[in-house]
Amino acid sequence: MTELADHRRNRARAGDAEAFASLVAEYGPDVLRLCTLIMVDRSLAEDAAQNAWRQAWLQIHTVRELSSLRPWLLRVAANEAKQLLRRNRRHFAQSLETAPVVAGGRDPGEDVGLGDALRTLRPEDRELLGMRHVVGMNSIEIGRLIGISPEGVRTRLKRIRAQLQQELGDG
Amino acid sequence: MVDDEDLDPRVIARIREFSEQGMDAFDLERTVTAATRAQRHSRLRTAAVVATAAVIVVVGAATAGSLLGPRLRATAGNSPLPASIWPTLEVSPLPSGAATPSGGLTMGQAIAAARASAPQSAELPVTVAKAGPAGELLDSPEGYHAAPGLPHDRWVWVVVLFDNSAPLSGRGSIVVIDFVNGAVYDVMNVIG
Repeated sequence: MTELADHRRNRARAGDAEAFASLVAEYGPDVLRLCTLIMVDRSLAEDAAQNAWRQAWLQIHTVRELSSLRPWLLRVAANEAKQLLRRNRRHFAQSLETAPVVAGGRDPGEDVGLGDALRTLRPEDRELLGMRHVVGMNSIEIGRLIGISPEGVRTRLKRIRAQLQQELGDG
Repeated sequence: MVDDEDLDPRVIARIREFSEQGMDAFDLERTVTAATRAQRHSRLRTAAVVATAAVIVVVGAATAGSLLGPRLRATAGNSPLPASIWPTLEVSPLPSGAATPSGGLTMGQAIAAARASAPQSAELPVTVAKAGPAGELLDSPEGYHAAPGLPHDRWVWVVVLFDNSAPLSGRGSIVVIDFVNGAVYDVMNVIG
């Protein structure tokens, strides 16, 4: 990490909005990508990413190690995305109580798109998948972030990938 | 052991492509504006809220007495404020054991230099005026993280001009000035 980057991160921690903007510019795309994969919904992902940056702004002064800023931001983003999903699920469940029952399901010949396949995974699984394949973290980094061993991360990823392949009809 | 890539590379590519779908909507300015609108319970804001009135008294006293007057030696003993208020102030006594450089800017001169260096905050109240070694004021975990690269034993003034009159946010500048020669090392424009 360069001295300049350190300087910018320190300024962001101290409340410098310009420095914070440079962090958003640097990490914003990864945050949005991760949220998109977890939410499997573009507009909800934008909401989650926005919430994440708000939380980051409020809490960034608590980050002691500058080197852990990126994983910290991604963790904040993943948590915000999962929280938004939970809120939306509750809202959706309440809506269904008053909605008419619609019979049906997928058409027999329907192509199961990636979005549908991703929706069959748990949000936590999509989070792991995103950390590995979207923002490029390895199992050691992921394990450190979510508090499990690298072997545990690899085992879970193996199961998730197998499930995804199966859902996609490639398994 | 390396990470197993037991997923079809084509699926990995599809996942990446899928996650890219919202990128065209990424708006840096909107994101930053919305995020930083939130009130931040930072050290800066806390200090600003707590210290504003009291420091104005200190600055006022220094101005009324002599602008060349008590450089940071304004302590509870020569203040009209109750002693219990002082520990929360950002106007620090001189660090124990630290030798004050001879000469140097008074608090009034440092504040004037800060106002001149941060024109966008020139009209704002002074909420912090501290002098001491840069290593103590700037580099500590609770420090201002300004003027990186300054020698730790270089004496500086840190002056914060901050407007906390708005209920949910404030803005201002942190100015770092050489204690001896008045050189301005850094001006940080902050919101909190």
